[in-house]
Amino acid sequence: MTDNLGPARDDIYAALIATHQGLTEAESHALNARLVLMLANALGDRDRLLDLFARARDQCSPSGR
Amino acid sequence: VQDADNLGWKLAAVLAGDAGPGLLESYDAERGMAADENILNSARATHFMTPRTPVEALFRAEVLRLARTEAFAQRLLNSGRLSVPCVLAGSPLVTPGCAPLPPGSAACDAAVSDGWLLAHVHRGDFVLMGVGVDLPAVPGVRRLGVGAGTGYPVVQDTQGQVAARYGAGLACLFRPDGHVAAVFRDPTPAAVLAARARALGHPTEDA
Repeated sequence: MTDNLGPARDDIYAALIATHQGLTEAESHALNARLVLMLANALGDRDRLLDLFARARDQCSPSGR
Repeated sequence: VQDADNLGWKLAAVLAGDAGPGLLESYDAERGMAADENILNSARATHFMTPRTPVEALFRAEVLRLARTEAFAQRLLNSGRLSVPCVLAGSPLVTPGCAPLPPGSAACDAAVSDGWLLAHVHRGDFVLMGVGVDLPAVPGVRRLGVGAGTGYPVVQDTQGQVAARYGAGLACLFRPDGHVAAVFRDPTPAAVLAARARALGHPTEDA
């Protein structure tokens, strides 16, 4: 994948972590699900999304399932 | 109701001596497409209603939460999909083409100067709608102008919805059941007649 985060990468990562601050694990999972849906809508490109889903899935460890 | 709509106008065309040999066979093909689409949507709706895994339940909960404020999430709410008319792209009766509302789609409504567009479309006949383009007279085809045209009824696209949904500068031929049979950038009488004949199940010349 190309690097699109640019110079703001550290800010973005810190903001993501901060967004989860103070949440229970269940609340964090829900927030992540919400984020996935919102980012999918923001991207809005079926082929790119399916490609990203597949790439993310490929990173699952074999023992995970 | 959609089955009855699909069969009704075809039987009427047969009784009027207007139908080609392919018309009644197309009923099966088109309803088969609608059934396939409904089965897929039905399976998706069932999964949404009764999630099979915790993560499916999690995503459903978040779609529901987002749907309170977000239009995209409201559209993801699956249960309404069964009542959305199917798209018949690939039907032998449909002339392929490129438009915001592609051929095969059911007509969608839009506000016009004297009310609603579908009131002008759904009258049980073939109607050619020109969005900002003049339309030729074609036998067996009623004309409807949107923002342009003389010698036939013309409505105004007061809110721009017709142009947004059907495409400015395009002409659109509706079947008697309100599905889009064909779209034209240049609606010549020959092109419109050919699309009408195809929609009635007559053999196509170049197919």
